[in-house]
Amino acid sequence: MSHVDQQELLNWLKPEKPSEYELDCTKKIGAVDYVIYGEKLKLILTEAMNVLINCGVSDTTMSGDVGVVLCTAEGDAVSCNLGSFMHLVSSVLPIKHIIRRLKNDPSVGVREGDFFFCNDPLYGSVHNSDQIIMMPIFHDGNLLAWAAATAHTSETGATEPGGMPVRARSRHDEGMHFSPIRIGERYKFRSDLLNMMENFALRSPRTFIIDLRARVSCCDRVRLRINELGHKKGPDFLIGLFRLILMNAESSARERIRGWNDGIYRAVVFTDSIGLKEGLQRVALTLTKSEDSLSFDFTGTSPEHEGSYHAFPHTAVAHAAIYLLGWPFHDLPHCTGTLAPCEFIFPPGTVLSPREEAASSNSVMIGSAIMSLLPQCFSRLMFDSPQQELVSAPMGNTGSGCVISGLTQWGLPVTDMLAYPLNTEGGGGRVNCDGVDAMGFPWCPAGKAPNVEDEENNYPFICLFQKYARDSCGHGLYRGGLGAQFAIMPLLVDHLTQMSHAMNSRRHTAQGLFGGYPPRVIPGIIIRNTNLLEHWASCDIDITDDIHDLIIRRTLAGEYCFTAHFRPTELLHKGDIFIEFSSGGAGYGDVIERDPEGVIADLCNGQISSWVAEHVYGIVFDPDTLVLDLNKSKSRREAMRAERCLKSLPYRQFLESWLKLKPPDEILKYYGTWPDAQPNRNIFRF
Amino acid sequence: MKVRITESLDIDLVKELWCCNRCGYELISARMNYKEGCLVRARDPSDIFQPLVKNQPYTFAPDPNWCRIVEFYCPQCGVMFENECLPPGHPITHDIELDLEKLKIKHGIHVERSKGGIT
Ligand SMILES: [Zn+2]
Repeated sequence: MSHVDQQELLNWLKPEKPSEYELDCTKKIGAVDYVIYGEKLKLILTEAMNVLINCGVSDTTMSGDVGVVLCTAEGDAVSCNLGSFMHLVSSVLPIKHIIRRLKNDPSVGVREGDFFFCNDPLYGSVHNSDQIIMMPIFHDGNLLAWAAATAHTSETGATEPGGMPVRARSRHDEGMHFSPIRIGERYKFRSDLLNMMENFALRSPRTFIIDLRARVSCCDRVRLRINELGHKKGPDFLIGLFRLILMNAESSARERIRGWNDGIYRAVVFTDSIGLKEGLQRVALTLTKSEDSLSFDFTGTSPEHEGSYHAFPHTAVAHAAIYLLGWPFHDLPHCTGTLAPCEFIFPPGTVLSPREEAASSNSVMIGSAIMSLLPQCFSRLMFDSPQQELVSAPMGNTGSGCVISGLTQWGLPVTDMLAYPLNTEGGGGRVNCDGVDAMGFPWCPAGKAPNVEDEENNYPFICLFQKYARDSCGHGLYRGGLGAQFAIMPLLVDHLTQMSHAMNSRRHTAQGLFGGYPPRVIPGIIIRNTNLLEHWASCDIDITDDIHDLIIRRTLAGEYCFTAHFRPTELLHKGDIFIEFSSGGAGYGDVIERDPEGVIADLCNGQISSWVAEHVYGIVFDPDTLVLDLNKSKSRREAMRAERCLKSLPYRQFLESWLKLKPPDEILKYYGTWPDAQPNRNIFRF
Repeated sequence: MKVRITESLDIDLVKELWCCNRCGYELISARMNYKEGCLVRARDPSDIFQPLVKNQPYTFAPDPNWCRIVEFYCPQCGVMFENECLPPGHPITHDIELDLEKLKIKHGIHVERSKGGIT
């Protein structure tokens, strides 16, 4: 077995013990230099990330779903640039594999001018679409540092286009998996390897090769700048600076943790698909905060299954890093030192610690459960703390990814995941304000949604509209941000294929906070055989620009198909309208306490419907003018409070009837035993 | 002395009780799950999420076979402290279990222990 045991891989995330030499080097760093050159490292990575985004061509890379990381010679991450914090974790592990397993192997070695590639989750990648280039940085012949550049490039030659096949049953259905491998020497690609890699991506070779070269250019920019810095300040300065960042990050994180209330914080979330099929699964977190450390125990999570919605333990930690480095530790160094006070427990055999042959190309889907659990636990942890302003309900965390594949209007094969729905999810309602509408991509909040004109130029479709989706948020005292609606129709080609991998059509994974509600669920919708092109040809352009109205009023003829949100690859013909929604964010606090004027403002802006204003928020208004009736609203809300008390039961009495209920057996196949989610089936993958 | 622990829940450190932040109602011992002191109701998701499509399994409202919205209210003022979207019959989560002794020390309340008090 050449790959690393999953538990050992987790251990690699801890910074290496400092050597005496490194500690000596730290003593040479003054406080002013520490700040200036720590910032300088960030600027170098910012410049390099711009190289990556501007040179790359996949929709996800151009949107910023990338990561640029600087690591020590031993592989510990000392600085990174957004992108996604996931890639901080996923960069460290393959570099440490190279250092520990390949560097001293005379048949491989690590030399100046080398660059390595990895996309295999068994070696640290998040999933095989997240491809990593790693480049050693030498100073006077000695290894000084590593640069790593990650970007999501969809096509991997899997059983379905787009690298995240929802029908995958094992890793053998997922196409290209490269363990860390040198693909370049003396700053040049090895063309024999490049040919082989390109052939894995024949559905989209141009995207694959250009993105690959963009990663190398990005790493090389980091190398160039670190070399310049090394010559200016000397290698000892950089070695000391790197170690000081790691040490300060850990001590700062521990100090922050110490300020939170000791205790145990629990949350559970549920998912509704394993990729192959619908099915209920549970992901459970017990977060224990004691003194200056945190323990994340995922015991109680549902067992592994035959589908692709699995995450290996390090991938689960990568998802935790999105929240940890984005929220509670947002202002601490973005490095692995900051994560050092965190211990993670993943019982083997669960969806977060499956056997090695498990498909994990959709690891980000089950990872969304972690992104929803952490804000739940940390908001309870941080409310009575100096970090109260960071208390927030989860973001939409749906990752409404749809992959299109076919020939472009220019006759080129293309497969790509469309970045607009990904990058327009709502933020969670916060302790003092609403979530941001169409906030961005929860996996990578710094990303940006692409321009519609670019999309229509790059891909063979016309975008009918992309805009906020009414009522898509979770409601509350502070509502979640809205998600978006997006509709495309093949144009200039006869057909395309699409595949969607997002969940949340039977129930939402994200939960509200402190009485806020979760976002609404999302069906998969295609309107087949429409006559929209004929309407346009006859200059009848007034169809609608809102999918809610289209569904309700059916102003366009066609077959309205409603399915689960995730869908295996299917054909879209000319005239078919494919619809995608990104998720709104979850709500914060009790709806009944939302400022009535705020409800009216949302109503007037078309962000919520009158049904929601009346039924959920208990607001009374003039239906024609939308003017608030404050007195009637107050009375209505008092009646709602009374109704709550009248229709509810004391806890014990409630449990007597509640615990007799159980979901239907057909949705519990993948859940494990009811209700504690212990393994109860043999899993066969073939 | 009361400490605010969530949006609408306090803990009275002297009485060691969970209390409603809005009306002061004393729910239950702070060493227990506050939900045990609440009024509880399980709601059909379509109470809160309007189904936009009829006679379809996917309607924009969660499926009640997969999800009920269990709401926890203050018995006195009816504010919703929390809700959980649980599959029908799933156990209720004990979401906050604080180390009360340490919380008291943090907020300057003297703690008597069986062996040697902290002063
Ligand atoms: Zn109350």
